[in-house]
Amino acid sequence: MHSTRSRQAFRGIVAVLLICLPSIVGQAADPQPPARLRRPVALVLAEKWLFVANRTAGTVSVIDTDKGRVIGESEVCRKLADLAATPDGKRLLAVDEDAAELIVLNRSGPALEVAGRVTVGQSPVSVRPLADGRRCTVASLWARELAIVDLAAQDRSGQPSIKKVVELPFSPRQQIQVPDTDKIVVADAFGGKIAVVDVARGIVESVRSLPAHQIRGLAWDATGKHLLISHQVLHADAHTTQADIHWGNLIVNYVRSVSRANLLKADADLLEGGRQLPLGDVGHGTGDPAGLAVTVDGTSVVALAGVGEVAIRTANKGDWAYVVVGQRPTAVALDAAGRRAFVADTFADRVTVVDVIGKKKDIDIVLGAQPKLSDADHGELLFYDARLSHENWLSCSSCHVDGHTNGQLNDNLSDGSFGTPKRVLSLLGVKDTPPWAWNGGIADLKDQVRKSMEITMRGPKATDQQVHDLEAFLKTLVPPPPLRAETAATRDGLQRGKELFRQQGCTSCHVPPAYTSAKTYDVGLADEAGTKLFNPPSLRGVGQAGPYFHDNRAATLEDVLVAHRHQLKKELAREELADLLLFLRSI
Amino acid sequence: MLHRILALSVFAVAFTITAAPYADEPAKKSADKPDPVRVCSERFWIVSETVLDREFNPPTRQEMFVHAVRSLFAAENAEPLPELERKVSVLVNREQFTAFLKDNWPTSMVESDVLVASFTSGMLEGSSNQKDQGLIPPATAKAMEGAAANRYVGTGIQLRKSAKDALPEITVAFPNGPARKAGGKNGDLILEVDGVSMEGLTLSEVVDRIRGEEGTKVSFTVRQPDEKGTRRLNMTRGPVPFTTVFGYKRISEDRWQYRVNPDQPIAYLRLETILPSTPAELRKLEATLLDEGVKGIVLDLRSAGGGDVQPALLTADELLPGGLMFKVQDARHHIKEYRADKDCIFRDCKTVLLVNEYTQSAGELVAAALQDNDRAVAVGQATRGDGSVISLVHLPNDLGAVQLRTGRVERAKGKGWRPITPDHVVSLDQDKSMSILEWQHAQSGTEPPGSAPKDPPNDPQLAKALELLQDAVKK
Repeated sequence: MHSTRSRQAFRGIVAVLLICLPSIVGQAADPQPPARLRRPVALVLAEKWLFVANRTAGTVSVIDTDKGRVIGESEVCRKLADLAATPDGKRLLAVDEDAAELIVLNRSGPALEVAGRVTVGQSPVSVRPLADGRRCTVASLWARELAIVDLAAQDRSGQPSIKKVVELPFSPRQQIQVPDTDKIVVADAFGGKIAVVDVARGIVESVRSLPAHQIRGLAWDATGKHLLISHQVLHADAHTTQADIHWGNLIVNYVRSVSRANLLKADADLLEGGRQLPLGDVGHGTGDPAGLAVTVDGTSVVALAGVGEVAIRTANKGDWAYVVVGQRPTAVALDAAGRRAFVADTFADRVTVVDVIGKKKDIDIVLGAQPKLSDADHGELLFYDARLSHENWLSCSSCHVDGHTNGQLNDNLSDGSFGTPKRVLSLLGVKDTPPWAWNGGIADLKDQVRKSMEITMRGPKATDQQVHDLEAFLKTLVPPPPLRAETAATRDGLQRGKELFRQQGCTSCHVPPAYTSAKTYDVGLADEAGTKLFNPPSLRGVGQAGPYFHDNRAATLEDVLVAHRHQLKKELAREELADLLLFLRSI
Repeated sequence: MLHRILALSVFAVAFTITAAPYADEPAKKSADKPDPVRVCSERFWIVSETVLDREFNPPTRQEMFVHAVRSLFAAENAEPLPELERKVSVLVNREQFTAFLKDNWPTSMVESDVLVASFTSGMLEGSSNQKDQGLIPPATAKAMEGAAANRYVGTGIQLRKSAKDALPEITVAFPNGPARKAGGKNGDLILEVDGVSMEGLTLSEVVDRIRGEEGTKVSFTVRQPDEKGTRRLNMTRGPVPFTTVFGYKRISEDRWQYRVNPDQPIAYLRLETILPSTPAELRKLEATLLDEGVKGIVLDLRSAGGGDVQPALLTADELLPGGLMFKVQDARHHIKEYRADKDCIFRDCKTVLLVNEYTQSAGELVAAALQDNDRAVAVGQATRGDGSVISLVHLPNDLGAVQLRTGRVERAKGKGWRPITPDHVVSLDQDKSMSILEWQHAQSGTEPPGSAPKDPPNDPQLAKALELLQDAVKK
């Protein structure tokens, strides 16, 4: 199984990147780093050096934290999604989201050298070394899997090797080891699922759901007895009115604690014995909480990505204090004493140092100049900006997480009435799927953008420029890759499934290549207001979506076809169902 | 007395809103006056369409018309039309109703404005429209909506004026309001608003002067009744957030004692009303109280009134770890089930509810949802609500709004609606009830000055709740 992946990706000559040699650094004139979009997303502090993973540039910037400035930058890969250090600090682990690779870098002082690579599942987004330093786990977003990698193999054969690939029932992003165990907690990138994976046995031990979405931070509290999780909650029963947003009824941003004991007990209720600490206050929203770190004395530092702030709660007591840092802080690293927090500001292309004790911003360290932004680049900044909403409670990405969907229900006025909550639609590939909204009532994407900004997010009146830029950004979003691409083993079944899809008449509404159409249809479903005509959602990447239907009534694709018999002309035999699912997961 | 205090509390928010009866904008010149028949017929059609569409058990259009025409004729003391019911019962379409009005329009000396007003107020008599309210003017509807969302914009005062008082009195200047911040005190008499004397004006005329858009300025000249000197209060109208969750004893303007007995880890939380802000207030309190080691909660919903279904379900959802909260049947007899999500504040705290006959509307709904899901046991006296859903329904064409019975609540357990029967009935005599209410209102700062009790009253219902929580908090 997975022989292609476990085979080491041998690259002939391993590119050696010797960077930031002290001799170069010491020179009077620093080489000016070139103007480019860096987009820092992860930080690793080793000795006095801070290594900054720049996602868009695929580089690692190195900061001397004593001097508070960048001393070098090295090319590592195409799209650097995450960076972590082994416990001894001698190796850094990087993942390339584009090339689907884990890259092992040897570290010597501030210098990095590529030591090995291995191919992992599509879109790796996070990597965590285990405490033993011999293994690491890589979470792949669209492949929905966790790769367990043997790092020790590097010493034996020159390359790390995949020990086992564990399939997950959701798209993962954040992960963290349960201390003193062989277990990893893996969190849903979009919704609220939490899996515990036993690394030694290579199995998923439990999958549970939290009332949550957009889980972006995981950290153990100072006692090690509770896992802290930063995330959002969207209430389906709240309305997208200014009042419900104002009072924090629509979107609540939380740091939740879950007990270690319950995490390790597969049938325990994760919410029992836990706490949820709301971030922000009435009039002070905290859209899109992200990276989270805890000091030895229990002080939590949370990046509030949507509002450009960090929240600090000293020694796990009292209210949060808020420090303005900049544009989009996403990751936090703490120094050993817990006095300074380094915060990656993704859109500002800089690292901000925050005084944790004094609760104030210290300095900004610019990673390099930025080129002129395109309209779509500007649109991206807006898409992730909670300041576009009433009192900063939510950004576009709060519901359409990274352009996809949080899979939750939201009661907004896009269907003309309250009391009819509907599933948030994915925007990946949105440019190909007019008309928009569940009732297909929007012919111009700009109108939908404006409507969402003004009567869902209830922010200040949208300017034409903002709407234009957001539309430009939305048009860059491509559909998610198929959950299971065609392989030699699935080719025949998949072809049969494709034929079934046509025979059953699915293609009359879900017309390829976008697998949708412009009309609305009555497919025997109705919302609370009696609306029966819906525009068919696109099926591209349908295996990556779910739950299904306007009100999430079907949990899985199987349910759509079996429990709900969605528009089937004739009963499917068991083999036919398997073929049809194979096909659906391949589009 | 009991009812006076209740009225103060329940309508604290709404008080400054009850105001101007529905009045049409006076036309500048008589030539501009629209044809009263056309105005009445258009208004009748819009209102009757809305009532038929939204009211839970609506009257027929013809019944509404009969009431309106009777009221029209009563305005000029004319004899009612003979066989009115029979004649109206055969009318079907809009043209026929309009023609009837045209043919039978009274030719009298009464101003047409007055006739239109009488017709308008009569229209809603046969509906579930709340007593005496009739058609609500747009500005009042907006203020009511603001108050219902706890987004009331104004000066943050509660006013009183009886016919014999010369001047309006500020009974309460609310803690977060512009008037209080500008130095306004409970008991202040308002002499002038923006330099205009308030002497002899009716309450609604005073309210009209005081009300305005967010961000606009207004000034009062006030004095305390026993003082000679006047003071000037300069304010900017702004949101006045009302607190809905109170503790046991107020220590200072913004500090509370939540424990009844300092050595017992039981917090006492009193919901005076339930608004969209209530879940946020509870969430914030949860963080503080759990930090302080609280293990049990007394949730006092006695006399908790006010609030729509929406804040009730958001509040119940916040306090429940899942389960069916209640169902609402609407005018089309669709039944919508409201379920709580898994999130729950005070999850590990045993909870006792206090209810009484004044636990109303949203308060009663929250209590029902918690009781039906075994989240809390109820102590006190039976409630008396009928499960009606009263909604502010907007009318098209800027006509304002009407308040109608738009649905009926069904409890999660059993069939239909029934008032709450406490699990532990503890009755109170009139004197005890009074002293508890006085204590509560003194704590929330809505008590008229000079009558605040100093010591907590004897409260057998609260005592029973604490007794029930004893064992749970010992562990």
